[in-house]
Amino acid sequence: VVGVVVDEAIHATLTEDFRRGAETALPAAVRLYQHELFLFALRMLRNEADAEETVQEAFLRAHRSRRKFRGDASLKTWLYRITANLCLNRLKKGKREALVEMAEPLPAEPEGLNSLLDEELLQHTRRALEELPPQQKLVLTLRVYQEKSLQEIAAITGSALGTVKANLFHATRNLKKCLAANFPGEIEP
Amino acid sequence: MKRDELYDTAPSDFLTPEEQAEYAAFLRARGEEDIALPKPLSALLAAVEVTPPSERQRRDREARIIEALEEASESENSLAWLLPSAGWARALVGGVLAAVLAVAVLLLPSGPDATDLESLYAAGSHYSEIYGVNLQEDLAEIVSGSETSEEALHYLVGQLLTEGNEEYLRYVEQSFDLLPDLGATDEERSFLGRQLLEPRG
Repeated sequence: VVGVVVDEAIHATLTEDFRRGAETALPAAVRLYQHELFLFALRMLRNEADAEETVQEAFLRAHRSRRKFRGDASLKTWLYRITANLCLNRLKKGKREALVEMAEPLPAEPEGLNSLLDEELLQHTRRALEELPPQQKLVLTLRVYQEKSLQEIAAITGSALGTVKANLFHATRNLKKCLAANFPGEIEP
Repeated sequence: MKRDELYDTAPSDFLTPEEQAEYAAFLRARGEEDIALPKPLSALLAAVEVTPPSERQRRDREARIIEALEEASESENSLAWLLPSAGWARALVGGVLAAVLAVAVLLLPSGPDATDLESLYAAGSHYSEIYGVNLQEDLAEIVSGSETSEEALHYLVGQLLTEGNEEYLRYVEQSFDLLPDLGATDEERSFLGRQLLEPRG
């Protein structure tokens, strides 16, 4: 709890510094947020070079638009939003290249899943993720991998909460449909 | 069909019985705190997680981004004398883009309607600048690549859905996100597209 409070205080201070035009604010934000934003972009684009380019561009755009930042949302949320839009642009324009190396299946999976986690199923899962409409992929990535709350996702995407839930619902349904077609009965709740 | 009628159209008009049951579950979930993923699906998503970069890669990337920011600041400072004010620069860029757009539309007599596109352009350019979307590039693609006004509008509406955050965009966002999955016809989507262009008081 203390850690969360401290984090919130840091985010708030940084946001206010950036809003006031402090030159040190954005470099500090790079140190604090670039890794998280890079992982987010990597999860969206599945390409390390594209992810790095996207995150760098997000910070440069934040720098260029710094005088327009009103502080309605935190600096971190704003950076997430810019990164998300840049990722969507790239996905829409089909600039993805080779897939990055994926992690091996986690060693301790819930009981009964070991038989599921073979390479074929993982490949289908990756493909199903890739084939999601960009907006659904965005919401799913923010929720599952970035562990954002639905409210935070709404702030990042500029969407109503209901829209976020709708996208998450459709993303889940599409993934289930896609996987169930190849592995019937294996992914039902 | 009026906007309200379309917005209130029952899902049962579009969905199969199975999809209706699923949609009913979704509507119930809207009132809940969160939407839980089925456990096997969560495990699968965890298993295809990306490999995190090393600490060294992380520090190198951090240094590259900070260097790029410093270069941007230096470049900005060296060009400062050219720009009387940020507003002046923005007006110039906006004017040039509007002129390019107008010429492009004139060159395509059967293409998108100029007034429609300019309305959308005006609504979207603000977000383009602030939120990192590339509407200018999209506009160029749309104008040159669309055969009909409707086609261009649909694409633009889609862009605005992901880029805008103003009140009036929320309405479209909420409607448009759901309609394709609910099986809305092209005519219905086209109707919504036209609604977007109406002046809002």
